[in-house]
Amino acid sequence: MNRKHHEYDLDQLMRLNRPAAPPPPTGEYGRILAAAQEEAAASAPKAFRYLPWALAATFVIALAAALFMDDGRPTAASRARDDRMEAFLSDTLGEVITERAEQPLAEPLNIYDAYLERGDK
Amino acid sequence: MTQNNNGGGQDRFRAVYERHAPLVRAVLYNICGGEHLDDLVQETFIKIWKGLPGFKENANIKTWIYRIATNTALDWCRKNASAKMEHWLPDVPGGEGGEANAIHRDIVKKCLLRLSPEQRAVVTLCVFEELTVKEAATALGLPEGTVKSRLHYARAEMGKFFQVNGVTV
Repeated sequence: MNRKHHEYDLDQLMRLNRPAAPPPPTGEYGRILAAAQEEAAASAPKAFRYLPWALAATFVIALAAALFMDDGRPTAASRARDDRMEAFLSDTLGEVITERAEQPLAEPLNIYDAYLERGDK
Repeated sequence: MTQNNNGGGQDRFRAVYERHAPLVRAVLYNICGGEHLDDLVQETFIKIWKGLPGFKENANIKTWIYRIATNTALDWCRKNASAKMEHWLPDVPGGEGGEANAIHRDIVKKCLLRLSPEQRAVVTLCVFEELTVKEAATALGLPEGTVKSRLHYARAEMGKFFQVNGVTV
């Protein structure tokens, strides 16, 4: 007998004499459904149990980010400060330039040069 | 899970239970025996309940159920490796041969007890449930070569056991 036939016969023998499982207990479906629903109900609050911790962790991370991670990224407050500083500098420099332009030039110390400039000779 | 809480989910679950409960029961019984059978059936169906909302309608539900049942059975066997196998399979009349083949049934039962849980899982799927090697490999999450190898060694062990017990195959 070749191997395939032997395997076939062996499988047939096993199949014909397979152990039969005992019948299910009465009301098995109801028991399983109740257990499944109970487990679902028990696992639902588990998610909420960690919710305050998750929120607290998010808050701490956001705070840390606000305090330590704004280098190079101007915040709204710092932008306003920069604008004010720019306006101040612009005004001050403007005033200085204007005032200096309006002031009469100092008399040349060299009288001869002044004389030459006036063309008195 | 949300889907399971409404009526539609329960109807689908009930349909799955009614159609596949005998299959689940048979697989678990052949791998683990009868001592904790009801608990294992319940554990398997709770897993099915949890996974059913995410299960695609067009996928092969039978293979998926085989997979859950065999995983549940093998996990249980691993956790209870020291348990006495002899008490797992009570004498229950049945089988296609009827009472006349009681001796053969007893030998088959003893033969199953000699196999490892992994080999029993392969024999259950390929011999008792008549799945192909490919289908069994999918259900067990194993390469086909591993299933073939386990089946080969299981058959060799069974053949030897039958020979020793005077059963001509």
